[in-house]
Amino acid sequence: MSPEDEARRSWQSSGSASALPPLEELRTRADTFRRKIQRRNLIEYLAGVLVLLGFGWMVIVGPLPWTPAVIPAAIIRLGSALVMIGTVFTLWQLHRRTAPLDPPVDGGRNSVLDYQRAELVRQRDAIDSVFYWYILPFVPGLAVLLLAPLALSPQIGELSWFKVVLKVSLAPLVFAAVWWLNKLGARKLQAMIDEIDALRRE
Amino acid sequence: MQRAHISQDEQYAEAAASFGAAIQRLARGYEADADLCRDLVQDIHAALWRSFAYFEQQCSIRSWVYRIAHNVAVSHIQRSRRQRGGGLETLEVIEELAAPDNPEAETGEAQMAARLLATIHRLAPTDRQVMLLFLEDLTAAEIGEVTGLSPTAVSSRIHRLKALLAKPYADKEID
Repeated sequence: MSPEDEARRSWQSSGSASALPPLEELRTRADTFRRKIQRRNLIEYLAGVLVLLGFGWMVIVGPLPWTPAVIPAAIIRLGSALVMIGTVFTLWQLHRRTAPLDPPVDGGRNSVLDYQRAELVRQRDAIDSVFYWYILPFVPGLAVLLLAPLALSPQIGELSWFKVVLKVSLAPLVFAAVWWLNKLGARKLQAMIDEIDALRRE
Repeated sequence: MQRAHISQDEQYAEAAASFGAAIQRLARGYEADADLCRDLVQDIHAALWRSFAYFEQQCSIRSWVYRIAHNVAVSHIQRSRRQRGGGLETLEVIEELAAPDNPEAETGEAQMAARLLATIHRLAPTDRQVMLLFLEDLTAAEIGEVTGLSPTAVSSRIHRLKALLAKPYADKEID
């Protein structure tokens, strides 16, 4: 008997065989997976609904009590409506771009390298384009809500220059940090994709 | 609907009966922790059962089962993140089979299986898949179909694997 035949025999006779899981248990497990996905979607939608309710309130009722009276209610309503549109767009994109591949649906049709590559490419594309679907949709609404008060408020002259800069640059700084962290993540994923491509080229 | 349901159940039952033991061995190759390994076996079976709703003879049942099983196992490893960040080797650099975790407890065939398992745990994912599939008697073409490696890449790995398996015998002859 050759060494590989002996190795195969040893390997195949190793371990204790246990009973197969009953079908009912498998159905329950499959349902658990579906429920996890549903729960994730529900949390995303609830967060979106909260944002929509908050800005929807300002669209319907008008500016919040502490908003300087000099700022026209129409500006606040316009800014809030734009944020709501941005939120709906981002939620739709989040749902579309972040749903992972499902091994039972895609795992049998693809080899392991193809499946892993497809999943990494999906993740890379989602985070690499975060500027277009997660940041940009909020820019028009936030620009209206942040810049209009600064331009129109009589208090602007009383604020020191660094407070003005802080007010204007806080949101762009947060957005820039989100963008940079995602770009970093995308580069790491690209390195993993390159490794798979190198394996496929062998 | 009922017919499709029965057919999916039947296809799964047949595959599970034929490959149940291989799935267990595969899971042990990916997951050293006994509890997590049991969990992985259940996940593979659940995915396999669901997958038969999408099976349209795209490949042989054997390749289908191993593709599902390895894809679930790789996703499991990535989720747990415990295998990331180095420490894993390729067949190219491994010079001999690893010693079993508990050499005193095992003898003969069982010790060989333990050494194989310890070696598998040291391997990078693709080489690990090739070794697991090779030990399950899959041909080079089938290994390529499951892993996605080219025939050349599979045969070079099998060549190294055979040399690795033959080494203890060659060493004995020298002694």
